Amino acid sequence: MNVLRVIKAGLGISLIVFTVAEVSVSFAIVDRQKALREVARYNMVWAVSQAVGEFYRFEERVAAYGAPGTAVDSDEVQLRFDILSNRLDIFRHGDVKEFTDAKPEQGQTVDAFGRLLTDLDPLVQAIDRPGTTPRILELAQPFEAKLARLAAAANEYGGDQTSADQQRLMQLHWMFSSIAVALVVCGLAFIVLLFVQNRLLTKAYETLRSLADELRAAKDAADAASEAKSRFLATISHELRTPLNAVIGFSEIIAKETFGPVGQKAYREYAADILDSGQHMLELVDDILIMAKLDAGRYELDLVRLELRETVDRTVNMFRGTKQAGRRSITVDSDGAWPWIEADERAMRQMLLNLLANAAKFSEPDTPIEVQCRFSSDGDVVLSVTDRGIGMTPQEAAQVVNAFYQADSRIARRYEGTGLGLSIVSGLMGCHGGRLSIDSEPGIGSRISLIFPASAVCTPAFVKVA
Amino acid sequence: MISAVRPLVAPLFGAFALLAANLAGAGSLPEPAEKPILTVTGKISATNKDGAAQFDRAMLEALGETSFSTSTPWYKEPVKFEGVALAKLLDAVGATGDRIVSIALNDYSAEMPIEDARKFGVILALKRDGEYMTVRDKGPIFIVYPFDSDPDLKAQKYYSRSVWQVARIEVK
Repeated sequence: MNVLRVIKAGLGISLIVFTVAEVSVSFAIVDRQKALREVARYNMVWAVSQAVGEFYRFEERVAAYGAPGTAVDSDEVQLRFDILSNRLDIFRHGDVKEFTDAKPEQGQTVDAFGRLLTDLDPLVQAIDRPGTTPRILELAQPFEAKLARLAAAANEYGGDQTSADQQRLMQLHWMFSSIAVALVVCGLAFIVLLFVQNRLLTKAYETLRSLADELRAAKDAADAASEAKSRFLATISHELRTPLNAVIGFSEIIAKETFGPVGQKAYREYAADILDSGQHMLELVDDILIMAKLDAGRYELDLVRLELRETVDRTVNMFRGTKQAGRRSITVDSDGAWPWIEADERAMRQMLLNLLANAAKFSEPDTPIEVQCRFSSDGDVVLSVTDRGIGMTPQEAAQVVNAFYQADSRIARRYEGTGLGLSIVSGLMGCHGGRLSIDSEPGIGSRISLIFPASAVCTPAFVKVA
Repeated sequence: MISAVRPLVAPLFGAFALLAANLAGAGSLPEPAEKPILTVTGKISATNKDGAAQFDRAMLEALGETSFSTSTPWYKEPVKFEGVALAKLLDAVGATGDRIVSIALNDYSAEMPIEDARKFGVILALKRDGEYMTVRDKGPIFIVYPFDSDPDLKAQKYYSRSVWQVARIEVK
């Protein structure tokens, strides 16, 4: 069902998307942690504004030192200067450097500030010399504006950084949201697909169930029909046999003049003919019954262990006594392999008689008939009857096992027969687990083989009384 | 049984007295020989000057040296700091508060919970890369957290507690 296949594909795809989303979530989480941490980084804006503050305090202390009657000593001024120098150091290294690198103009301010401090250093150390204080203040004054500008720029830069960090967080947030949505969608898709699949499967199951029910009913009907047929045939054959027995019995008595002579020779001949016809009819009835049983699969084999050579010899002798055999030469090949096999004795006899009768029927009386037995390469037992008769084409050989078939209607008229023979042999071989094989060439002859499976071969049974 | 205990009584009593003296503190710190670089005030028990504990560099170093290397936002490369463990100093003064405020020479101040000292191994650094720190170099005392030991420490919260040019510590 195509729909089911589509659904299966859909389930597979949603599963893959789900997995991909899961993996990206894991990576995104790690990323997010990093981003969150970076948001709380060192506040260099504060550092810069502190420097500005220190600068003013230094200026104030210098001015206070210079003012008459103050309590400020030179050590205090030196301390302030040292603190200020430390601030420059911070500008030159660490996170503030990142800012000055990004804004070259502010970098220049820092460099100028550095030069100022270098210039002020000796002056601060010699601050008690007259005229030093105003000089220091004079040099420092221009930097008030510059440092204020520096602090403002740092603040701007800091703001940009924060903004960028926030944006990154927002992006991560959106990524998380879309992944979450994707997960939900996949989950839902999965559920829906499973639902649909379930419904389709349930429907299919229902259809199958009803189909199975129908089939069962049909089979029951067929079985019943077969039963009826078998019973019908059994009844019919019994019904037919009874009058036939009378026909055969009484005609035999008359033909054999058992109770005295008949008188007219013609009546004796007629009685013989009636006997022949009656026996022929009986054969037909038996054949039909066997055919029916084989058809219904109800032919029951009575398997016994048979010495194949002995069975064949007896059957051939039986055949030699019949009119069909006449004075024909029938040989049984002694050099062959003659194993013991498990088979139905009656069926064996019937099959052999049938093959011998066919061989005799379809070949000239002066040609020989041979019976051989060998093992095939697979270990099967191959029992063959060979004649040098009219043979048959491959197409005829294929058809001849079909019931009621005779190779040619002309032949049918010339060679009597119902055409049931080989189909019965074929069916009986089937019951034994074997098969019938035909090897024939028109004008040359035919070899019909009964092939028993290797499993039919058995050990000898010593039940013979000497 | 008493005869077994008697030989132990004297040493036990001596140990107990020493312990009591340590716990009591009260004026048990020696006076600084050189100019003091750190003054500790507030909820402390060991003092040496008007209820405050003053330390010069030698006194601080006598408390025992600790060192570690860490990266910082103020230096490009990781730096080795050597100094006194803050926890040791707090024990030496018998600090009993729950917060400490560190105040720098330029009046910058920062407050930290007293557990930080023990939890993170904060030190009062006196040397940077083997050299004593001058005022220009964030000395004489720099409170440093071992930032590399825990990723949570690399945040503004702890950078602001890392006071340099420390002059006073108040225990609250």
